[in-house]
Amino acid sequence: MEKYTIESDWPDNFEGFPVKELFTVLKEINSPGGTKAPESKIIAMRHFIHKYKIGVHGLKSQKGEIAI
Amino acid sequence: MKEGSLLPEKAVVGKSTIDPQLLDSSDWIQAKSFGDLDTALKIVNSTWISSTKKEEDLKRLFKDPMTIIITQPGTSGFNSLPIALAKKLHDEYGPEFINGDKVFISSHSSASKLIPSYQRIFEPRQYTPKDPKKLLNALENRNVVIVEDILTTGGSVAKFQKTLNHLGIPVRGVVSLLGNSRLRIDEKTSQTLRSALTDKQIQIKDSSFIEGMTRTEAGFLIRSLNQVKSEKKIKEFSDKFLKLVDSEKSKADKLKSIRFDHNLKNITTNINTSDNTSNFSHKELLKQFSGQVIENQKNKLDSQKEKLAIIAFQGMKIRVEFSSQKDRGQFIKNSIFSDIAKVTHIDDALIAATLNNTIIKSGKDINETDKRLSNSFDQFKSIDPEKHSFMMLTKKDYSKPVIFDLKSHSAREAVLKQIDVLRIEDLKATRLNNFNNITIKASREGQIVTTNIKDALRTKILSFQQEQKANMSKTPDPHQVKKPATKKDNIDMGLSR
Repeated sequence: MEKYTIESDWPDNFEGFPVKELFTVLKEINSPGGTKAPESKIIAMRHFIHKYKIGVHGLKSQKGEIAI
Repeated sequence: MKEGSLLPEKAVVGKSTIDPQLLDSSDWIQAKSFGDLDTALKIVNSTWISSTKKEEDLKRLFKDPMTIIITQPGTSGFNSLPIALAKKLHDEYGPEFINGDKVFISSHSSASKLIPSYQRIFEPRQYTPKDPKKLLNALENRNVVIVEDILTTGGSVAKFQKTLNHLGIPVRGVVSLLGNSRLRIDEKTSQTLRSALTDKQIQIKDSSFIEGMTRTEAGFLIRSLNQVKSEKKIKEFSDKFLKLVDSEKSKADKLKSIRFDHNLKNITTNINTSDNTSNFSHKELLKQFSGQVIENQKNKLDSQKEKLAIIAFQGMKIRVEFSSQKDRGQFIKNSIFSDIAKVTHIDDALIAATLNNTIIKSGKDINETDKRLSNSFDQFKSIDPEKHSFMMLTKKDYSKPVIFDLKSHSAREAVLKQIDVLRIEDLKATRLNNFNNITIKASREGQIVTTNIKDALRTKILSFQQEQKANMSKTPDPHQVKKPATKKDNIDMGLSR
């Protein structure tokens, strides 16, 4: 399973940052040393993975789960 | 502290020993780092060790039908283990659950698992609700149980519990698949930590920081403190630690302010003056709600066609719908000029002024130019609090409180000599919008009074609610406007936490 593949229907930029860079931030967060990216970029990355349902955001709703 | 506001003493843990082989297994990685829920379910079922004691603890935890699970939001965005455990708990004990990753934004720069345990306290987790309104509505009157995959120091769970607590959401329990079940710092460890801090001459004003730590975090901190010997290292440690305490305080203030805003919206009341059953008159309405219009600017009134006005009254936002634009204009005109003239107590003045965020900028003499909230806040923010002198002034009857920026200390002193004032002694510009914790030293008829805005608001709102409740049980007032459809009877401002 490849986590960081950029899909063709995603935008090039999101909240003022290139999507490629947002994925770099995600990769860095999950690597030793973390990321040095500013908080605004980390938050943009979070918003992006929320919006495009990446990782656990894309999981199908389970029985008993409440969607807000 | 209220029950639910403290970190639970112990978590219910599926297995207390953490097997390094399991953490290195491809299944674990698949579930933890690639979001594979099926594999996560398999791990949860094979790892969880049942016992009568655990079953009893869980039954007790989930006995209340208002209990709901929130899975611990992660940093990777790919950890499906807490969701798998929540699903298992739902299947066996019935509580509904929320995927924490979907409702909270975490803005950490590094995943916890990659930070050495002893350093984690200095890399605090931060969680911000994605949509506070929806979240707080969904969790109203619910008790929360946090579900996590692994408790190492328990720091992430502790920070998430604090986040929920500051938002006014009580946390009743923590359930984890693996790890150390002891969460809350105990008295002995707390004392040892305080002594270790005192030994290094590190003083923290707010002891709630220590109370919110886990036992393991405190243990690591004590060990780190004991290793710091040279003066230079102590200074470095002290700076780092105090910065951390300050940053936690500021995060807490932000969350409390989200909660406060939500509550203000929740107690917004509708009054429809075109209702024939209400014997309405502007005078009476003003008499009843001696607040001020807070969402209109005087110069815009004539051009606005809406029939609505929002007024502030003792910490409540009240939405008034008028039968005509003329009625509304008349009311607003009157209320601006009467403003808060009916204020009879210092607290009313503070509340009204704070809600209004009224700022009057002055030069050498006080040339009143009322800048209302919408445009004044930014101006205020841009002022360097070190170079200016702020104070709140009122008339002798404590009406019309306003915040002055007097440009210089000498101007401030000159005014102080002439006017009976409420002096703001502890106000930082950046905190104006976050007024819960502002303590104001005020002079009133020669006496110094210390008033905390938070307490003042709470007292006022609660007494107003009680008054309203009492009034509701009495015969309706002939001047009564349509009874507000409001949630105010149920609200708990939770500002005391």
